[in-house]
Amino acid sequence: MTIRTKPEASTSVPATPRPAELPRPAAETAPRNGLRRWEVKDVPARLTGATGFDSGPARTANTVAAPPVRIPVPGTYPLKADIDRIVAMEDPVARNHAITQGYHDVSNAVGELLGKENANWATFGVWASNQAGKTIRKEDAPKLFVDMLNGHEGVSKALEGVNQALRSVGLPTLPDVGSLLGRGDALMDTLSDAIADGNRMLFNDVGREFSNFVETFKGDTAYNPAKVEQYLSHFRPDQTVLKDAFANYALAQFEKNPEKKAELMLLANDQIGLHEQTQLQADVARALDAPIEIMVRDGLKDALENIAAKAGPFGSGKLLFKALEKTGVVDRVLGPLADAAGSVWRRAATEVLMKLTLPDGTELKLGQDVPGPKGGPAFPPGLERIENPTLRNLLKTLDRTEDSLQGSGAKDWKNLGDRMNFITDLFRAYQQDPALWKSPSGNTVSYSRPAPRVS
Amino acid sequence: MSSPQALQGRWRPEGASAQLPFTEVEIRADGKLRFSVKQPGTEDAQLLDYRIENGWIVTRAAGAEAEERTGFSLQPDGSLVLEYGGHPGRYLRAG
Repeated sequence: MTIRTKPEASTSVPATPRPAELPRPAAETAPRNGLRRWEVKDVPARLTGATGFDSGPARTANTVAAPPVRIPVPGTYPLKADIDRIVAMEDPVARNHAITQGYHDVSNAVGELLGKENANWATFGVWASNQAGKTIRKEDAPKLFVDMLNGHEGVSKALEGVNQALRSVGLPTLPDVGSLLGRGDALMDTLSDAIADGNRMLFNDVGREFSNFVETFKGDTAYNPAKVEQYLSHFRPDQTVLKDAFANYALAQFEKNPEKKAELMLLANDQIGLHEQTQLQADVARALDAPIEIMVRDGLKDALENIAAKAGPFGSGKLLFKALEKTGVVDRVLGPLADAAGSVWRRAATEVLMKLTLPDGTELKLGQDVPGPKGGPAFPPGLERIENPTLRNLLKTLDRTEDSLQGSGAKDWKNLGDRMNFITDLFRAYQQDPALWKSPSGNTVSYSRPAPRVS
Repeated sequence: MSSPQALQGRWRPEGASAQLPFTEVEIRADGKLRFSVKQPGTEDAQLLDYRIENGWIVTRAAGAEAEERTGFSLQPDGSLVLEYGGHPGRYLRAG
């Protein structure tokens, strides 16, 4: 890619892609049964590109007049060494706290460079990481799972089958599966570990890049294409979307038109959203595709053996359980119960993953449409209508309901297309919500200070 | 207190089902107690020595040193409640 100049906003985007490059509407690509879902591979590379770096007329001037120089205070945001230390932390709970704080601090540092009228991706990352912390600390999933188990008709029916078998051999019946599984520790560990791994991986990847961006461009007074090109050269070939996002942040740094700047910020945020959700796919699938039925069946079997040992008269527990197992009745009655519990688990895990609590306490259910910020329109000024063709084309691919929050709810969080459909509307609706800049903890942290620059 | 004679005979859990494995306790006059898990075509059983002590059936498996104590009470309706590990179970006479 050759960077010629900082393009003017009005001409800073590629020409409208040729028809062959445009994503076809879902109706055209969907089979008759309507089962096809959008996947990331459907995004033409052109649509994720940085805005207009390799097209459009070159300007005669190489730089654009800059706003006052803003330099984040050294030691108030994490540098490479701090990020290395945070991602190396072994305690997932402490690490998540440090990551959430790190996102907040690096988001503020980016805000010093790009302004705080528009949230950057890390500003949203604060709240996503804060939410992840609840799952990592196992605060939300266990109760939800147990409550859902106990209220599920399929589970109740399967439980009655187990209880009939227990009554037949004179053992006490199970009041509910939730109490039998306790808090389902193995299941919770699976979810918690997957979320903790994703939380670390993203901070190491995207959080680190935000810090690098701040270190590279702090104190700059004008857009410098050569410097931007040099900066972008460190991205790996598999990081094209991330690279394009930071190219757009670099453009936004010196964009004076507020609407164009808002669109550049949204474009960059959406591109990082796409990058991070693609990276997270394996962890999301791991959380939702864990062999829950096997884990539940084994857990229930252990619990039954324990009940027989404790309650089998004349110390007959061992004989009783072995005899039941031999007849196959244990597997026969526990199978449906494990299947039903597995189905409930996926719903509970999905609900846990599909939740985001905003700074004002509003709990977004990601399965429902993104609600507009309180007291305002769905989208903030400057983002009500999208003019930037690159952003418009990206949204055409990612956002199934153009210029509307209706239909933004994600049905299946394991589906990347469902997630991006929600996230693009979330980013667009809340990009100018000042509450996002709050700190969830209210803490302040001292980080490494950069070495003085040698000139 | 119930007399040992009143306990003698075969007992099955109140919820025993012929479609499922069920247990049967046979308390004999010769001081032997037979505990079995039955289902059509198969039976697993153990034969225990027993004695009655103040509301307890004290059992010992052949060759074992440890004894097991299972509480019992005969109910006015003729059923037998066995209690082990704090878990009561109601048994009805079989055949």
